[in-house]
Amino acid sequence: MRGRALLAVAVALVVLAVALTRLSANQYYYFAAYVIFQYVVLATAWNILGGYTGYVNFGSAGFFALGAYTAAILIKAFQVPFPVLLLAASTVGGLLGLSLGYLTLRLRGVFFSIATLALAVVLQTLIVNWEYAGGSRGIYTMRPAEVLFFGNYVEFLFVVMLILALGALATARWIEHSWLGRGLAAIRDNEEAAECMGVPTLRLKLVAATVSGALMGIAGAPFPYYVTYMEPASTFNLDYAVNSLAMPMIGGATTWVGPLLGAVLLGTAQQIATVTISSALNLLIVGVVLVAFVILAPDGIIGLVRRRRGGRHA
Amino acid sequence: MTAGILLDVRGVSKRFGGFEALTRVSLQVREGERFGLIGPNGSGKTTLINCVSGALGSDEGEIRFAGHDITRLPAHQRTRLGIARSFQIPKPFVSMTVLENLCIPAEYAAHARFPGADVVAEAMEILRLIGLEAKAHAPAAGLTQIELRKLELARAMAARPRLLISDESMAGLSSAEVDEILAILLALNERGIAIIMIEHIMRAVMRFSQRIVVLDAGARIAEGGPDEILNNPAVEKAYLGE
Amino acid sequence: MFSFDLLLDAIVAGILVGGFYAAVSLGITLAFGLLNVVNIAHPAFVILGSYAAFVVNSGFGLDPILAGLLFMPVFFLLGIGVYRIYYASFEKRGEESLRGLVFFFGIIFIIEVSLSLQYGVDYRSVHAAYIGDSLRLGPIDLAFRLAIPCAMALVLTLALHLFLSRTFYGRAVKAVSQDHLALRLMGADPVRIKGLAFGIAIATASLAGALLIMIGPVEPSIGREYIGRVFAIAVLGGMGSIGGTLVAALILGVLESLTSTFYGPSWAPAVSFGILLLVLAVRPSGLFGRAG
Repeated sequence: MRGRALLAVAVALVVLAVALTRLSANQYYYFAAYVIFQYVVLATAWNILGGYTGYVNFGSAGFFALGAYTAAILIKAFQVPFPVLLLAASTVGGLLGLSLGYLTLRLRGVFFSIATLALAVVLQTLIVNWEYAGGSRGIYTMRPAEVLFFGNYVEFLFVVMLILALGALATARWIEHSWLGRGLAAIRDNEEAAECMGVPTLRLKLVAATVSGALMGIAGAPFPYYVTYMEPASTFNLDYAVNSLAMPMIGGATTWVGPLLGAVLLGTAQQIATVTISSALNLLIVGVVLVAFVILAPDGIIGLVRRRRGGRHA
Repeated sequence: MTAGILLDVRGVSKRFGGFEALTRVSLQVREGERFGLIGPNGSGKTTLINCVSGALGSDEGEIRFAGHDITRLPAHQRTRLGIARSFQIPKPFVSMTVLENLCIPAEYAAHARFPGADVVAEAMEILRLIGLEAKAHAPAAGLTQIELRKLELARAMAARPRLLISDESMAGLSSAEVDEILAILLALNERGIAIIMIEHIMRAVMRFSQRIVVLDAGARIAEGGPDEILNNPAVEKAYLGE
Repeated sequence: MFSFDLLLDAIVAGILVGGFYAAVSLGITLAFGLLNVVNIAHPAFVILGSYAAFVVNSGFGLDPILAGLLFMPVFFLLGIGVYRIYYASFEKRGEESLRGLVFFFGIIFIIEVSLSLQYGVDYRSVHAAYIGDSLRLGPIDLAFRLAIPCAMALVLTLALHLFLSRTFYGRAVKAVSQDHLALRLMGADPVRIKGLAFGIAIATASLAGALLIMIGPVEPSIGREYIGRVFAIAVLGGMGSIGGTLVAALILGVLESLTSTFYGPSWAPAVSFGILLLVLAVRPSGLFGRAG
């Protein structure tokens, strides 16, 4: 079945990635690929609440940074092993999604979105005022000098992020094809009708918000090791919010493949672009492309492909 | 035939700001009954069924269904207990096919009471009954007006209700289409489902209902069989004015 | 280190800035409160207004307030244009929730980044003869740089209130938020009325932007801190109520000023978010408005 084939592909990718670390010494590719995998996670996470359920989260940067700072603080305070970082970051992200959802998802969807807009700013304010987390001066995290099996820590992070990306995709795919995904789609299409058809809309929305938050948090967990120096302005960067929204919208928001497509295309384009054009121009282009897509091709690239094939309405 | 009381609405009131949409309305629907709810525009019919289905919370009064007090239950739980409704303006799930639209209530509402059922087979059977079988895999977004109305009813059916509320399913349809919908509702009732019909098309209501309640300005002004209602001066006054 | 003078200064400054916040939020009250268009990009339009004022002020020495007023017709037309696109792409199809929001989000970036590409990220300010002065009223020190924008904001608020309650088009705007059909029957085209209302909302951004750059220097991304503020004000004020917007803005201004004075300015952004969450959790209809 398709599921098994995909699992095989995933395993093959991981093996390939590990093998690559043995062969290539060019660190740049690992850094670049890490960023793209990170965006796969963020875009996929965003889409669970956004594309599947219809609730727009503008505060991805807040969730991501919260995961990153949770990890950084745990490293600084307790030098915890890596898996604990992942667990902690995802838990914190999930709790944030749950509580924000609980406060705002009982109202019109618009209020959730507005709350997320303000969220990143507020979290950033909290971090800036917290000395232990480095405040606005930032926090340093040392990469371990040695790591089992890999040449250096960056190669390890590269493979970890790949696994996280595959895990996120698997989660999204499972949700999409399950009863949960069908319920979320009903909520997205018409929440009032869904509720009257027996769908426990509040409960499902909270589940989506929690899962989405947890995945965004976990994407931030390896970040302190990746950058080694973290400070609020760049960690809470709006880039994360724009990209985790633009990638699914451009790729196609109704399936798990869309965010993957968007993340790979847009992420790669941006990695190339940062070398050639300014990051400001880069952001402008993303903004323009996003607006163009949302007006002209609201179902993203996947939607365009489906329409061309004359298949079912996306 | 003394069928039990399925839906018991007692003294329900609903206010919107300063406007009182419902004033202590009571009514009872028996198991398997064909019940008509009529009244001029703005009399509170849709508000009442919104309170019954759970789309709105009532300010006063009590609602009991099949022995349970459902007054404070959220809508999705009421659907699981067996109340289903169609919407006046159809609200299909536009990203899904017709069949998938039915699978939602089948999975979420009916499943609770009928865990072993084959969701797809049941849904297809309903589509056959309703006459939408040919469109089962067509996108819901492409249906015609009457097909959408039928889909609304089919979807409510898929929740395997004990009480189905049909909110103006016939509004704006041609005479032949009205008869189609009427036939469907009668067929559904044959299966033992109680049906509340809200309509403005008098010939349909009169032909269909065993008992009718008339609302005007948020209050119940008459109750009885079709003949009684037709000859009731208060009803005539409500519709035509003095 | 508590002193009565400090408290008084903080309150006065808060009231003045609050008045200005009302000017910024009027556009949201119109667009979101009355028309149900969630224009999260409104603060970006305000910044655009700031830069417009900056350009004519530094280029031609024109008084910033005059510049703000001068650009209002331009912004009005811009607003109509943006609404047309929004309506055709989203509202007509009933998909305004997800896609409309994303559309405006994209607009934020387009405006912000275009400004930073054109003018860089340095802070820009305007110069006018009266900005540095202040007026002494007993124990209170009214800085002109705050007082004049506040006064202009009050004028704008009053003008908008009169427009909505006394003119045909104003009443049509209020009506369209409640009942499309009735409006059609009156002979007015709801889409045209909404376009007009949205145009007015964006036009207020022109003046608000000019006032903003009078209060302090501006750079392209400071619009972001206003997003939380304007929606907190809109929700607290009850969405759609001009008077409510003013009161809510004053409250927010004072609370922010007190927080900033006694706990430090880095805590100020948390105030609007805190108010927003509190209102949403406790009384979503706000102080003066209808629910939801």
